[in-house]
This record gives sequence, structure tokens and C-alpha cells, in this order.
Amino acid sequence: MNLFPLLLAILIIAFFTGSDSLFYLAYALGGLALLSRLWMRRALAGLQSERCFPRRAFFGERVTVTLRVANRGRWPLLWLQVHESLPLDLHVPNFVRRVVSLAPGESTTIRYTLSCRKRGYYPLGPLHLRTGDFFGLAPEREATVAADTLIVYPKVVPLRHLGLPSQLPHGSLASRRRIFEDPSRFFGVRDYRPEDGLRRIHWKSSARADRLQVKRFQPAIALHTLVVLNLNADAYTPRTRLTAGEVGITVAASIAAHLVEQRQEVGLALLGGDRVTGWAGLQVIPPARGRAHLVRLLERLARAEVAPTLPLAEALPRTGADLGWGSTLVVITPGEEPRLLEALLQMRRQGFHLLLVATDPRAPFRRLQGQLERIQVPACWVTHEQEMEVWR
Amino acid sequence: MSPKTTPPPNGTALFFRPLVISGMVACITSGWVTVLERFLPFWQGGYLVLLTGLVTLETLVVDRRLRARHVRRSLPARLAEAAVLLLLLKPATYLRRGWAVLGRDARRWLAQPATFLDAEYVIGALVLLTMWLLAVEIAVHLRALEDPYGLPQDRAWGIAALKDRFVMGAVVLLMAVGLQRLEVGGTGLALRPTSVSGLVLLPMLYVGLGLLLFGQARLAILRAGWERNEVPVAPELGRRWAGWGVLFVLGVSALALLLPAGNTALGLYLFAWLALLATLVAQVVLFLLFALLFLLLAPCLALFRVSGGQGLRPPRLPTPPPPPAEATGGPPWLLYLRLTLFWVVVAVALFLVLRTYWRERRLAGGWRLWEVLLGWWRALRAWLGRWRRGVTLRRRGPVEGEEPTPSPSRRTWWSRWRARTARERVRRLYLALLRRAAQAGHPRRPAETPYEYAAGLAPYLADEEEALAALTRAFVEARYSRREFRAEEVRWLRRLWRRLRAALIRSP
Repeated sequence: MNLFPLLLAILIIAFFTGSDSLFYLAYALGGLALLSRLWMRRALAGLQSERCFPRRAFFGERVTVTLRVANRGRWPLLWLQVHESLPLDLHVPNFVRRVVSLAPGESTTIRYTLSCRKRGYYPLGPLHLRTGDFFGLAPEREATVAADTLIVYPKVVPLRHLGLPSQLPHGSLASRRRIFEDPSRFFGVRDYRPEDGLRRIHWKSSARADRLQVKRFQPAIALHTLVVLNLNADAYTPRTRLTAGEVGITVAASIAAHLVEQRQEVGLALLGGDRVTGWAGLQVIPPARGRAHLVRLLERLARAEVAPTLPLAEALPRTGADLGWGSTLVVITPGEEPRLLEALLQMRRQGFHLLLVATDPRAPFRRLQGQLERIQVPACWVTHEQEMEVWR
Repeated sequence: MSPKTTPPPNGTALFFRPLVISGMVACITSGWVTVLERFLPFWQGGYLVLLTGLVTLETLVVDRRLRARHVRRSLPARLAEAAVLLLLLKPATYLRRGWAVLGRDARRWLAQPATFLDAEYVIGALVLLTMWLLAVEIAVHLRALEDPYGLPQDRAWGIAALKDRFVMGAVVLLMAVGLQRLEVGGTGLALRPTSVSGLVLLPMLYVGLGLLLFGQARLAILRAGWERNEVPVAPELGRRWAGWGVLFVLGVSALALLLPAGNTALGLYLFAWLALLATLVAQVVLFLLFALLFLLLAPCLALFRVSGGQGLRPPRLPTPPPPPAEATGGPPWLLYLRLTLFWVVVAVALFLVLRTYWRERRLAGGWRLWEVLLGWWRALRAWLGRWRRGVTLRRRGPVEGEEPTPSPSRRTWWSRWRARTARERVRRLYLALLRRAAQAGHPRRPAETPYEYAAGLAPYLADEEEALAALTRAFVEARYSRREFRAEEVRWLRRLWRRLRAALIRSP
């Protein structure tokens, strides 16, 4: 509502007639318009909001989020429309909306529950806030509060009888081969690769060489398991990309959890995309043991997505570069792939134990299994989590 | 929620909006009643202000309740309502003259029905009906905004219509205010000077109520949008909107009244210049116009002069025929028959009107509606009573012997503001001493005077009897005399208080 023409008319008439009533009317209307604008300008300045929720959740869990909006300013918020955007995978509908009224110093709490039906790395928010004055004299004000993130771990199926081929005794042996590195035995530097952690960068050498260098440590033999998950989009058919990819992630998470529970060291080589960073390629998390390491693996799996990247046959030799002789590679892939058999055979010859898990229900598994038997690589076909019953 | 159902009205929509509309209508009525009383000395219509406000309030509340129950109001129902209002108006006109006169006149109406419509009643009825219709119109337009499934053009129409009615009411009221200032003297018409009085406050009140109404219209539009989108709305929103709106408008209006008004010297100066300029322009335009006319009409004038024709005379109008003589009445029984027939028809019409009126009220809640209205009125009175008692207590101060010891958590802004004076600081120092002493196991009994208490406390304060006596004396002076304390004195007393506090901590 634009009061200016009316105000001007009243003022002019008041000026020429000298009517007190009109003067006071003009003052009151002008004051209302000014105060409304001032109010709206400062209305959202003192607004604070926070979300309280566990940042991580397991598959199938129900997470209650408490959204607290407080007015710490001196101006009341006559009405405040709160619109919280939510991922559709966790909440239907994909928003929570309320209209509240906040006096100065007052706060309101909005609670909503998320059903973690799908693993992922989800933004909760952004929170859109909108307010206005009594009469619509001033334009409405809006503000946006940034989103927080919730990680839903992939589904972990309890496995008891996984029966991995690597059943060798644990231990470390001195070795001349660069198989597994002992961080206490530094012996040089090499060029940086994307899968290297920042902690391994040798900054002085990088400065000298004018390119990133990472530390190398003296190798030792340790028996580990590396779960290789193929999420390369080219390996999947469009119809099974979603389901087979998710089954692969569930299998990888379940195997990792099972091995950590067995106090064995397990790593992850992920060939796919990262939903958060958008980066796609091969990322290797070296084997380690413990709950904290498992959480790291699960977080990475939560963020994983099927994305176009290099073929598994090319990536596979790089995954075993830091593994010791006799380590086990669990290769989870949708199915048959060009030059996969050659790569597997090469790994087999390098002394790795191999297990292949195919996840695509439309893959010609019998033929693949026959070919794998010839190079003594066991294979199983898991197209649904219920088919993991054989390992329970 | 089904898209076809209309949500029930909340308390604000049910009472606050009708109250605001009734207030606006009462403002306009008040203005015009004053004008009519001034120019028609025989007419007294002060009761109309209250009556108009009450009947519009009742009508609008009933209307809202019926709408909530999905009862559509028909034209006969409206007419019945108007008829009942007009019937109610008649006894109201006798409030000033007394009921005995009403009884005497009622007998006269039986014999001469035309006397029912005397000038006072007709003027009152016109005012009442006009205001009632205006209120009903405003309510209809406001309600159009509340429909969550209404079309956007309907809402735009509703807002535009509300603005029209508001401006129309404002113009009518300002006309009334202007007429009240009009002075008819020997020198012609003049404007009386005004000060901050009812004359000035009436338009302010009207505009304030109008702004509250527009605030409610905005709430209705917003609420309709939220309901359409199924957004849950906090239940206290309507109440706060009304309460904060009243505070907002009152605050701004109060500030406006503090500003100067009426100095129009500059305006007159500007007006004089503008008038001079306009006169010059008009003279030039007229000169050009007349010159052009002269050029055009000159041949015709010459032609008339040549013919020497006489000027045209207006034709004589025929005189109207005299009115026919009144027909003489028939036999007396015919007159009685006509009268009886007339009153039977009136009685039947009255019965139908009252029945329609009562049926609608029963649908709207019957006596329960009146109980709700009565309860609302009682609650308002109780709130006002509590507020008045609070103000009285605060002005009178605490009773002797019941010295309050306000805890920091219960301090109000008023108490903090009062602590800005030196007297209050002294008083607070002594109260702090009382609190500390009570914590140390020496509480003051309610019946003890400050000096008695000081005498009892002194043995526990080693070497600080003088400080205690000084602080006690200062408190008594601050509390019971008009003595003003200097800042240095307060600082000195504060030092005494610190010494006493330390002594209390040391005391056994």
C-alpha cells in the first residue's frame, strides 16, 4: 500500500486550510510509513537460528531435528514465515513450513523427524525466512540461513560367514617390495597423486621441485583386505544403474563393517563420483582397523555416486600398488567388462587373493563365473541384499 | 482439509474486526450527530452513536457466526434485521424525553399512524440505516479477503472496495468536522479555530481504526494464502496482530499529537502566489477567448442590428389550476375498519420480521451468542479493573510496615528507572542492608520501625554503629521527607553500606 499520494494530498489540503485534524492525520500517516520502513529494515537483524540434530545417522534410523528460531533484536516480528527445505529422500513433503510470531527476546522451536530411508550426504536447509509489517507499507524482508548436512550411512547387513579367501595369519614381515608402508620408516618422496592425503605431502620438497611431493615410507608386509567398488557409470546399464549401484554400496559397507568387527584391516578403493565435491575418479582409503576407520569408510560410501570415470580394468592395478603380497581384493562391480579378466589375472599373478561380487541383475553372470573359475577367482552374484543371506 | 470447507473464524476475526468496524461507524455517526445537533436545535441524537456502534457490532458478529456455520443470509433476513433496528430506534429516541411520553405517544400512533414518523425519528433512522449499511458493506469486503480459495481478482476487488469505503467514510467525517468549524456570523461564513479536542481527535480515531482494519485485511489475505498452502500458523498470531496493531497505531498517533499543527502562514503565502499566477493565466485565456468570439459573432450582431428586431421575451407560463377540494370522509365505522386493517397488517409484518430475526440469532448460537458477548465484556471490564488497581497501587506506593524487598529478578523497568534518582538510591542501599542482615540471621520484623531495627542490629556490627545510624537516618529522610540528596551524599552512604556489609560478614 503506497501512502505517499494520500499523505501529500492531506498535507497540501492541511496547508491551505490550516486544519489541525488534517495536520495530525498527515503526521500519523507519515509516522506510520516511516516507522514501518524502519521496523522492516531492522526486523531480521536480530534473528538467530540453529538446528540441533545428530550429524550422522544409520540407515533406517529416524532423526529428530530441532530448529530453533530466536528473535534477539529489539523489534518484534509480527509474523515470520519459516520455510525449511529438506531432501525428498528423507522427508515428504520436501519442506517444513510454519508461520510464527516472535516478540523481542522470544524464540520458537520447530521439530520435525527425518526418516533415513536412503544413504547419502544430505543438506538440511537452507532456511528461508520472510516477514512483513502490519499494513504492507514497507516491502517484505527475506533472509536465508545456510544449510547443515546430515550423513546417512549406507545400509550395513550383518555378515557372519563371509568366507573371504584371505585367511592367512596376521603380521608384518620385512620386505623389499613396496607393499604396505610403515610411517615410522621414511625413505624418500615421490610425485603427488589425487588419492594421496594432505598429511603425506612433503612441503619442503614440493617447494624445491615446484610440484607437489609426498613422503614415501619403508614398506612392510601386512595382510589386508581392500574393497574395490566400481561405480563407473559406463559399467552400468541405465535401467540398473540406481539399484545395482546401491546394492554394491551396501555390499561394500557390510563387508567393511564385518572385517572391522573381526579386527582385520580393511581399505576402500572407490571408483566413482563424490556427491559433495563433484569429483570423479579413483579414491583409495588405505587399510586400517578400528571403529573410527569404519566411520570414515562409511562416510565416503555415503557420499559415493555412480559417475563416469575410468574403467575398472585400468584402475584395478593402481588399487593394489600399496598392498602387500597375499592381501585380498574384494571387487564389487556390476558385471562383465572389457579387459576385466586380464586385469584380474594380472592381480592374481601378483599374489593377491581375489573375490568378485557382481551386482547387476541383468549381467550374464554364469558366463562370467565360468571365465573367472578358469583363473581361480571366486565370484558371487548379489543383486539384492537378501542374497547376502549366504554370508550370514 | 478439503478445499471446499471454510475454516472456523478465530477470536480476532469474530470480535476484533466487528469491533473496529463498529468503532469507525460510531466515529462517523458522532461527527454527523454533532453537526445535526448544531444546525437542528430541536434534534438530540447523542444516543445514536452508541446505538449505531452496538447494532453494527451485533450484526457483524451474528453475520460471522452464521457464515462459520455455512448459513447464507437472504435478502428477507437482511430486511428483517433492518426493520428490527428501526423498531429499536423508536424507543431509543425517548431516552431523553422519558417513558411516560412514549406511552402517551404510543396511544397517538394507534389513532394517527403517520405521527410515528416524526422528524427526529426519520433523521435518526436515516443516520442509523446509512451507517449500518456501510458497516455491512465493509464486513462483506473484508470477508471476501478471507476466502483461501478465492480468486486473486476477488481479493483485489475486496481491497479496492475497502479502500473506497474507508476514503468515503473519511470524506464524510471530514465534511462533518468542517461543518462543525463553520461559523455563520454577520460578516458571512468563517472557520472557528480548533485546538486538540474531540473535533481533532475524531478523524484521528477514525483513521487509526481504519488502519487497524487494513491491518486486519492484510492478515486476512496472508492467512488465506497460508491456509491455501496448508502452512500451520501459530495460534497467538491473530491476538498479537490485534494487540500490537493497537499499540503501534496508538503510539504513532500519540507522537503525532505532540507535533505542532495549524501554522499555515507559508501555505497562505504560497496560495496567494499561486492564485495570482492563476488569475493572470485565466485573464490571458479569457481575453483570447473573447477576442475569438467577437470575431466569430461580429457578422451575426451586425445582422440583428440591421433587422432592428426586438429582444426575445420569455413565454408566459400558464397558471396552475387550484387544487381540488379534499374529499370528505365516509362514515366513522369505515375509518375504524381501515385503521384496524392497517394495524393487523402491521402486526403480521412485525411478527414475520421478528420471527426471521430470532431464527437467525438462534442459528448463530441463540442465547449462547449473547453469553459469549457478555463474557467478553466482563473479561474486558475485569482486565480494566486489574489495570486500574495496578496503577493505583503503584501511585500510592507500598503500605507502611510492608516494606517490599524487590529481588533483582523481579525488578521491572519502572523500578530500574526510578533508581535513577538519588532518593531511590538511598532507599535501595538501606533495603540492601536489610537483605544482607536477614541473610546474616538478623531479619527485620514487620512491626519494627527503622530506628528500632537499627538499635537491635547495632550490637552485631562492631564499631559500625555510627554508619548504621547514618544510613538509617538517611533512609527515613529519603522515604518520608521531601529532602533531596546530593550525589556526594549518595556516594558517602554507599561507602557506609560497604562498611556495614563487611561488618555483617564478620559478625558472629
